[in-house]
Amino acid sequence: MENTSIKAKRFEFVDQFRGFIVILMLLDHSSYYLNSIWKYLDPADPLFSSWGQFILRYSSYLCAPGFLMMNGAMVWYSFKKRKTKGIAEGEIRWQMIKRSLFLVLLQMTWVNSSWSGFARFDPFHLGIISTIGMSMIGLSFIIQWKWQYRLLTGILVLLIHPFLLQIHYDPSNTWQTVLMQTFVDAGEFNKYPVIPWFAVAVLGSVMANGWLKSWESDNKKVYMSLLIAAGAFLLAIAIRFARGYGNIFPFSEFSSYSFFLDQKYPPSLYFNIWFFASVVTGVSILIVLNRYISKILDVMGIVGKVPLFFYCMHIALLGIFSKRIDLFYRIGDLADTLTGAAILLTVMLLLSAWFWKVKQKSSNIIIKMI
Amino acid sequence: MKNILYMLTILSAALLYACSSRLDPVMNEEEGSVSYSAKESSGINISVILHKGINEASGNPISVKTFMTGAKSKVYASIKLLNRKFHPGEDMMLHIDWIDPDGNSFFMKRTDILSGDTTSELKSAISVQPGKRDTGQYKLRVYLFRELVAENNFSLVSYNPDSAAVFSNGPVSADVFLGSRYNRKNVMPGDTGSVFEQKNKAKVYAGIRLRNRDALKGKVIEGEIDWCDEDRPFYRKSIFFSQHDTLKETGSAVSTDIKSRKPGSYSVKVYLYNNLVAEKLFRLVPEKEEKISVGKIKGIDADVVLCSKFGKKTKKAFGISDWFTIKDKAVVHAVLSLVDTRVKPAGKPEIRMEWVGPDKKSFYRKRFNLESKNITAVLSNSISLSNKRKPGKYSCRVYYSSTLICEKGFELVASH
Repeated sequence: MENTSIKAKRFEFVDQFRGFIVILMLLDHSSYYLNSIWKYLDPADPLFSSWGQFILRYSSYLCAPGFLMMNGAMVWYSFKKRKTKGIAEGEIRWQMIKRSLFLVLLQMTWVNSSWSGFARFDPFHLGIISTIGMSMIGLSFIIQWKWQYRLLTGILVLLIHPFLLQIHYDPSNTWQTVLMQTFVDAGEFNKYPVIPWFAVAVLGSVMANGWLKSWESDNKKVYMSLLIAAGAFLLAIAIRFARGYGNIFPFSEFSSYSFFLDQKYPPSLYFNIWFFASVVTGVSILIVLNRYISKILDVMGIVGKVPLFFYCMHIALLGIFSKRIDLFYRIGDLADTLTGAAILLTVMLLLSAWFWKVKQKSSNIIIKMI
Repeated sequence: MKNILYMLTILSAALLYACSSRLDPVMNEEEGSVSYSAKESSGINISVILHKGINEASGNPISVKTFMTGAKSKVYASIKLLNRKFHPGEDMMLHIDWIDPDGNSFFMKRTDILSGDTTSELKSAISVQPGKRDTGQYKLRVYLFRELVAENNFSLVSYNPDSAAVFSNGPVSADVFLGSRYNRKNVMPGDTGSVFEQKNKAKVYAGIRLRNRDALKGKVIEGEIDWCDEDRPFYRKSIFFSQHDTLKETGSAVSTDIKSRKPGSYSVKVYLYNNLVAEKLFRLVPEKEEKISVGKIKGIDADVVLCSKFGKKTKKAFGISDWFTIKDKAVVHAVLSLVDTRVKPAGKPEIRMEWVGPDKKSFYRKRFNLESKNITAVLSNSISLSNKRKPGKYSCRVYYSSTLICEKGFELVASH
């Protein structure tokens, strides 16, 4: 009964939401390359001179939690679908691990080098794509658990992570740095430690139970999602107001920049709960909007069908044209950044539509995995 | 479903719109600074002073806008957190960012002020050694809770040790003229002299006229005007004439009121390319106080009390004090009790009550005509304590005809 309730089709709202977050990511990465404020400020520890600059940077904070949650959801869906086809659990897990290792390899080769426009080969650090891969490996071992156990696991890992951040290590010691920054802390070696982001992916797999199976009508999906999101928002606000455990940066008052902007690298407990709620709300909004502006959302769906391709290509284009050829590299203002992002998005929409067609026809294992 | 969408849209927009806790930036062109004030009147504001050190005598920073490179030279920033007292026990996160002429950040410092810490001033400094820093326009930005709240600019110019070459066409010196009056037509001051009274808001103006200006024709002229207190500079102004300039006069001024300077000996020194080319001494003396003596008229006994409330029917004073707080709708009453036991002169005697402000000037007066048969009288008069009043020492004077018969002093303090 459980297996038959899973629809054998693409979930439009998942594609659209993935499309939405990769577009936000394109906006942020365009800012990273074109916006002059990053000449003297650090995007990983940002400061803001205007509301526009704040919104531009802050909106992209949704991307990593969105990616991880959607990945968790699709891992769950993929596992269920393959199991319905009669594939053994061990075989499914191995397929997932192979895909995960491909993501780690992709990060260390293409992605790392693309940031500089392939000016240098830079394999010895990790990033968001490798973290998604490693989280998938972890997920593949628990994805068959009931959603209640996965929820408990996700919450426990999130609750423990702030304590793990108290572990002292010597940044000049390579193996300590690699170990800590792979799993717990953020730094030059890896900005996305696996442990907190794995927990976010697990929560995504839990939400998939509702989104992709149990809540059959759109109304049910929206109401249940908003109920969960409201609870998570309230919990995040309570943690923030307590100002202690689960917070990293202090804030001045509710609704100020600083209230929303807790640490992302690595994420605080508040950050993860707040953006879990934001992702769940975002999915609900897309389901609702689908009733009114489905044609517009289909555009997001185009890039949402090939998010990895989109990610790899847009950074490469920015890296080559902006950084390597030095075209408008960090000399623009807000308007220039938005103009650059609009041009790049147009190019990426065309490329994504083309690649989706190629991917559908192709039997090449690499193309299938991108 | 539509309602949910509307609700979410409005909620998100409201949250995001309310994000900034700052007003639009205000630019001070004279100082080259930009400040972003807090929306709340009691919110934290930041004041940035760039200086080259602290005057040991006064304890004040020697504030300048142009700095010279030097092996041991530094640019210091004093960052004051205004309204800190309204935020006791609150954590604060500040970032101080020094930006070079190319727009690159070369030194960023984060400071967390934890609850319980009453710090209201932060300090930061950079060295400006030749070779380490390029000359040009620098910026210092201060962020509070990641939001830009203040920006200040300064120029870094190069130190030219080869002054001998500059003066090869003959010696250059300067005349210094000091005066207490600003001349709108040129920089040479009016009411010249060497002794100045420390009146309220008074300044001493210095006019500098270069001699043998032709010796420096076609050259960039760089120098400084130092205002010194016992040989230690407390304020420095840069002199800069481009090679196309034909001007030979420049000026500078410092305030001399008693709050900012101690009475004593001071000097103005003029340097060109680090060579002292002129010096002028002057003295500051306290303002001569206008002595007003309270006279006695035989047979008249007068007394004034100051109070915040006065019953006109009961003639009773409440809240008697010699200090009051400035706030809207508040007033201070002066209640005069007069006993006149003399054989009355012909006509109606006149009583005048006069209110005198911190500048020793009368700002309000009220006349009363007494009936000649009265032996005793209780007269009252009041002034408002709205925000138009400045904090300071005030007094109420009572004149019988033209003779001052009674005076009562009081102090007004700001509400915060």
